Amino acid sequence: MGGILGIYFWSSVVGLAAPLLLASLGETLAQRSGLFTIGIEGFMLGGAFTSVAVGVWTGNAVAGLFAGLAAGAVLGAVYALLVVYARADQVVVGIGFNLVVLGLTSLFRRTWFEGGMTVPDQSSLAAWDIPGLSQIPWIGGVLFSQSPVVYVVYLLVPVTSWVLWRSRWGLEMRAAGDGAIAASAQGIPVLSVRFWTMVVNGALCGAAGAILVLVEAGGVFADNITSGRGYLALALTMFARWLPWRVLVGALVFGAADALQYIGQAIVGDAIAPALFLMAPYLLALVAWLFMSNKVPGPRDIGVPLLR
Amino acid sequence: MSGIRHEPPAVAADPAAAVGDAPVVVRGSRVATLLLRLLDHSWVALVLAFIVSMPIGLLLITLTGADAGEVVRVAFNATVGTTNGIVNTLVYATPRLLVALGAIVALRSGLFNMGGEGQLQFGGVGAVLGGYYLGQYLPGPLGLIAALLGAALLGGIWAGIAALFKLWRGADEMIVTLLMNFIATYFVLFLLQGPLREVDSSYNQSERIPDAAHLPRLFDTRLHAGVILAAIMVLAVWFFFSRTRLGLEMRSVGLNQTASRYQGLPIKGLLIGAMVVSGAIAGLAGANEVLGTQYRLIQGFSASYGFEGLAIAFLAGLRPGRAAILAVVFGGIYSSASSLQQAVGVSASIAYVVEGIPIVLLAAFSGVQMLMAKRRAG
Repeated sequence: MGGILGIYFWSSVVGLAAPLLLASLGETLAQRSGLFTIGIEGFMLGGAFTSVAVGVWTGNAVAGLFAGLAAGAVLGAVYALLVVYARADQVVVGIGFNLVVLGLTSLFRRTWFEGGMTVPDQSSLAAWDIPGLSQIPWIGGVLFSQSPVVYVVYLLVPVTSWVLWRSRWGLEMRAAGDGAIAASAQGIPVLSVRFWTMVVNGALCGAAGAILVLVEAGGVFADNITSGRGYLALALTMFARWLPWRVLVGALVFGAADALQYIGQAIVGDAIAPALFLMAPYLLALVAWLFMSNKVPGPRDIGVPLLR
Repeated sequence: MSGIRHEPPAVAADPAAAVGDAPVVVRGSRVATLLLRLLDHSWVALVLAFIVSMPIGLLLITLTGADAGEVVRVAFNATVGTTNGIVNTLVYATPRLLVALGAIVALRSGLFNMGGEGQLQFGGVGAVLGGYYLGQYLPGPLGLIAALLGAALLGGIWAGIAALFKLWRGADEMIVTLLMNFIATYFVLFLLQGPLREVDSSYNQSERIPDAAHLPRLFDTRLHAGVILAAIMVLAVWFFFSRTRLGLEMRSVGLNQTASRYQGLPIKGLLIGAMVVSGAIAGLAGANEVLGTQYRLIQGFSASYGFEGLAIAFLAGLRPGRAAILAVVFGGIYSSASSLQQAVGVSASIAYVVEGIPIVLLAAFSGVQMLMAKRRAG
């Protein structure tokens, strides 16, 4: 197992960072386009529930993963109808939305899965050694012996950067978030750009919830299993100043804080209570929130509906 | 922080900004005007929203295989149909109302305190410290007073920390308080697994509060004096904001910080004060549970009262009187859901669906109204 330098710890860090990274990348796109998503917690919870439900019914974890992604996209579309087209206040609606998703997922779990909710076989999402690379000492075990879906999440970091700064869609997104009225006057379809960005955000957060339960939590769904991970992703997005590579760094730090609870006991014994390890990621987020520079300018229209 | 939202467009055209004066004392502060306008619903709209959401709840329950008539009968008995139902409704309404009142104090002052849950958790700790560790040495009802003061103190300090972060680092209080909820919840878990744990207990719970420090029961039922405490707080919050100078000053900071500064108001002090009072009231919600229903601090004693309280504050348009009525409605919904869990096996979480839908509907309705007003104005 090893200690703080061991392969096990660092490979857990890379794995545990993946769901938070994926959700924050989605939220980065959303906030760049001017949307502030308190509902991200609901997207992740809905994705997590759907992925395990489909995983149990089909016996196929990969099908569960895609179902989680699709459920997230549907929730994203509903949320976008409310905040983009109906111009609902983005914080107020988010509180209601998260309550509804929490209620629905707990209701369905108790109704359909009274005996518990566990995907029987997650082997299709199990770690896959990349031939050759995984043989590199230490680095191979840490980076190249992960679940295939984790590789995809990390590949999405450069992809998100490319989309934001090199694609037409990214340009329109940034225009919608940084001077929506001017962008709209220039003929950029701000509303539909924001709508589809929110659908993508929902899909990524839904998949993040699915990865959280299927890959990191042993395929078990319990009520409110995301327990604030969405709010962590929201904070991470903002103190990473909407830059994908900074989101990556932040997610890895959170992954480390998360992984500490698994090896913490081995290192410090009973000197530090387990509850304090559970608290660590949130405490870290708070400290980071206080001390990160906020000099990098962000999108001006975050949370402001387009009134035109 | 860059201000997530509710930055008034007027800031750019602010005359003080033009002369190079720094008008905004506290960065990233929001303006309560917009929020108040958004949340200002007519009674008709409010009632309609619940008329939509309740049948949706009923439909969901019947889809799980329950008989609709049975569901309605159970819900009736769990609310207005029986004395027991009325008592349970009020007992469930009380903590939600206290959290909502705390949220109202902060929101009215332009502070987005989303940390009711964390402040309530610390309130629970304060109630145990005052009621058990101090209370056992105090004669008569002093133990109860110590417990309530302890809860208000710890809840207030926990919220005050968020206000200090805002003044010191410009940290947005919405994100800070959201994160502090989880820190508080795990901190309480830590206390209940260690320092505050009942000796020789196999549960994560504190020692039992001595009888003298309990909130006294009313009419020989589960109903306890917490409901009176909450009613007093409704009047106090109403009186404070509509009849006192300090309340007017806090509202003024919430409505227009620049104007308040030119009035010479101590903005920083008012913001810290608003946040501390807000947290103290939420802390009383924690005390209400510890001293009135559980008689000890138990892990997970709050089933997301924090967000339900916030939901009540939003629906009530930040009015204390309306919050009281809506809290009773929420209490009735929860009482019904919890009876239904026993009677037909449906999850009590159905309550969250019925409570959340009206907020979503009314938020969308306000947004559409705002858009149409803007378009009419051209």
